[in-house]
Order: sequence, then C-alpha cells, then structure tokens
Amino acid sequence: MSSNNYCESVFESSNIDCDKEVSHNSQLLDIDKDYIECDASEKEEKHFFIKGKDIFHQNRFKSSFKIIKKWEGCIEEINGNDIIAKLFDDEDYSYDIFEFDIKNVSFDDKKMVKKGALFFFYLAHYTDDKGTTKRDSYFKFRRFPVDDDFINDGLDTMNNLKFDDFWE
Amino acid sequence: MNPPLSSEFEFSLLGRGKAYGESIVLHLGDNKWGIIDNCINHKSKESLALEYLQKLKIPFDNVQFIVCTHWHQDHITNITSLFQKCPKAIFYLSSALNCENFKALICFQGKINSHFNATSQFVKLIKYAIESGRKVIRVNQDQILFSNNISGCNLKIVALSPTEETKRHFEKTTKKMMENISGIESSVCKPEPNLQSIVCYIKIGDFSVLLGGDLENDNKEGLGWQGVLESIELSANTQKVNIFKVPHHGSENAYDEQIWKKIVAFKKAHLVTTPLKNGNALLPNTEMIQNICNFSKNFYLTSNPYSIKSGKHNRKVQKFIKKSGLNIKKISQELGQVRFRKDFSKENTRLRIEKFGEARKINCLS
Repeated sequence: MSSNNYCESVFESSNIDCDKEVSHNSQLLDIDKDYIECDASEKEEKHFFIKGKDIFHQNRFKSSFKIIKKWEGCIEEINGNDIIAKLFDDEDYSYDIFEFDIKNVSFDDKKMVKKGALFFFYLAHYTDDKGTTKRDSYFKFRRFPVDDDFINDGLDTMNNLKFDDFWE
Repeated sequence: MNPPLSSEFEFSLLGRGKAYGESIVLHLGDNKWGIIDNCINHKSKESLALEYLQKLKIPFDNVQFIVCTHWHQDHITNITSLFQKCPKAIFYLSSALNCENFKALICFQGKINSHFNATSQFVKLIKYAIESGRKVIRVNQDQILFSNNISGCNLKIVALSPTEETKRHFEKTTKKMMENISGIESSVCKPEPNLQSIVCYIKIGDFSVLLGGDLENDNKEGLGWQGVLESIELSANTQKVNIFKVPHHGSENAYDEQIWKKIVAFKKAHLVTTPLKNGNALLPNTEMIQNICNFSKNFYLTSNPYSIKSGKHNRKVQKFIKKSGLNIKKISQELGQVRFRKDFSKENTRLRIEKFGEARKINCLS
C-alpha cells in the first residue's frame, strides 16, 4: 500500500460503513482515470471519486463544484466545542490559524477530531439545482486505515530498514 | 553583508516570524561553520541557513556539522536537503531516537503523507543517509561535537543532553505512541513535554554560549533541564553562560528560574529566541517575556510576537473568508535574524550584536 492510499472522504451521511469505504477506495485509486463514479453498494448511495484528490458526496454536489482554495490542516488545540487548527498552504508555504466550532464538522468526522488530527479544508463555489452559485466550505478528515495491509507493510518496512546502518 | 573574520566566533539565530521554524548558524573560526536545525524561506523554499551562507559567499563545503536537536516539524523541515547540500558535514541526532519503538513509529507514522508529519521527514533522512553511505552520529550527554582553536583559544561544543534517563523515558513514550496508532484516524502525534532535544554548550576560553533547543522541564531527576544539570562538562565550569538561546520559544514549561540561575549569568547574559504561534497560544507569552526580561534586560526575539502584521490571502479568497464569516488568519512570517559576533584575536573585545529583518530587542513590559 502506498503512502497515498489513505481514504479521504466527506461522508455527510452517518450510516456509511467506513471500513468498507476504505477498501473500496484503495482499489479505485489504482485505476488510471481522473474521474470515477461508483456505488457504495450496500447503502445504495452514490459517491464521486476524483483520483487521488477529492471525493464528493453526490447528493450534496450534484451540480458544478469549483474549489477556490484548499489547505491541509492539523488540529492543535481543543477547548470544548472550539477547535484551533493550523492550516498549511502549499502554494506559498504559509500558515493560517483557523478557529472553528465542532458543529461545522460532519457527524462521521466528529469522532476523528483530536489533537494532531489531519484534515483538508476547502473553500468552494457550487451551483445548485436552480442555477444559483453559492459559497461552501467543508472539512475532509484524513483517514489512514490500520488494516492488515498497513501492518504488514509497516513490518516489512521495519525489516528492510537498515536502521542500525543509519547510525555510526 | 560581510563574513566574520577567521578569528571571530559567530552565533546567528534565524527565525520565520510566528510561523514555523528556527535555525542556528555558527562560525567556529577559520571559516569553519556549523548549522543547528533547519527551516526554510517560504518564498524561495530554500534553507534559511544556506541562504545566509550564500549571502556571505561561504561555500557549503565549509559546513562541518549539522545538528538536528529533535524531530519536530519546525526544526526539521527539509533537513535532508540541507544534509545533501553540505557534503562534508557530519550529521548529529539525539541518541534517544535510536530505539526500536521509534524505528517502529517511523515505519508506521512515517507513511502518513502530510506536511505536518515530521516523522516522514525523518524517513527521507534515513533513506538518503543509507543510500549515500553518509553516517549519522548519535549524541549523548557530555559528548564533544566539535573542537577548534580560534586565535589561541580552545573552542569546543559539547552536548549537555540527552541523558541516559531520557533514552529510557523516550523508549517508554514511543511504545505508548505506537499503541495509540490504531483505528482509522490519521493524525500526527509527538511526545510532550519535549525531553529528547539536544542542548549544545559552546565554550571558548571564558566565554560560553548555551543553545537550549526545545528542551522542556519534567521535574524528574535525569530528565529535561534537571538532566542537563547532571552534565560533568557543565559542572566542571564555574563561568556562567554569556549567551543563552532560550529553549522552546520561551514557553513556561521550558523555564525554571533556579536552574537558569545555576547556568546562565543572571542580569548579564544575552538571551534570544524565536516566537511561535501554537494553537491559541503565542510564545513567549507576556508573563514569560516579563520573566525573561527580569532575568536579563538583554532579551532579543527574531520577530515581534505581538505585531499586528499578518499575511494576506489573495483578494478572492479574502472576500470569500469574510463573506462566509470564517475565522482564518494568516500568520505573519517575516524573517528575522539576531547575530552575535566576538573577535578572539584581541583581548577583551566586545560582543557585537546585530539585528536583521524583524528581529528586535524586547523591552520589559512593565
């Protein structure tokens, strides 16, 4: 499993089995297409997958969707419902401090909110059914499945890493 | 910008506003240089330390050693590139990191591809060192890292940490960290407080400099600053430190007045550090600025942590943020440098202190 094979998602629905989504994505990411539509069959919910980058929930983003800005974030402090994160902008290598309320995080992602948690944060425009362009911002907490592949891969790396040769 | 004389010692602290990162450049006489930690210029993406050496027209071959005090992101950014560009440099790392649990941590947490993941920077370093055949040297307490003769004065750099107790403690800490790598959460964790940081002590005749890294206190024997006091090298010296790089950006947890008084020249020493915006906290906070100024009025920062200056997003993003009511603020990252030079070719020469960019001397708040 490569380092990019973590599952990035914005599951708005609370009833999606995330473990299933993770294995699903791992397969999808190997397909050489920029844009893939697939079924999360058990729940009969459709999701859009854009290779290696973004995965949008179809029900929410069925019309046009244009990303204005993307940051990578890391939670630094949690005070009750108030969360403080550092955002990194790889366009100009700068940092932002972002304060937000946990209520802005989707139900499924709430359990992932902890110090050190990594996420992507987007500002975007989208056009709704009536043709109106609207602003939207959303979080995508990064998932990194600790499954058998992950553990075996880590152990292989440990066995192959000449850690003792590294030191004098 | 003029390079130092071959008889001049130089200690420069480079910082990047309140954003992220600090680096130290040392001139150790006879055009021999050392670099401690790395951070980058956000505009050029180049190492601040190497940019400074370029300005002085110093070949990178003259860098004798690189010390990575600890593996946090603000000290290790692009450090592999720094190692690559200084082909003759010896690389020093805390011996506390040479443990099985840390190896496991870098093999597992290192897989998380994130700018915030210092462990992945460490993986790059290992790969490069193994491929290039360049060795990394473990640093223990009281180990001599460098020595030279500067105009008849012996110069030596000695590590005051990590202690043996630190190594045992870090092994336990990383074991716990490994146990916490479970589930699907993707997060980067680091042990707190920071007890693994290398602290360097530079002694040139009666003159001395203490580079505190990010070492914090734990109030346990053998750990943190308590552990530094166990150093044989330090206890053998009766002279107090003249210049002190205040540890961990002047945080409360790195401060212990009693310990400082045992090591650093009270009311006389020159103190310097880099500020940091960490979560909601700004380091050093106003109380700590007061404490440090009470210790010595000669206190310098590479930039003003309370400056209202902040970076700006482009107009479109700025408008979006404003209209959406989002609380996103760009951290200022103006570069600053505090430079200390002292010539050892003559007796009783004065210490020359220069400030560049946003660096400033901090006045007491009262």
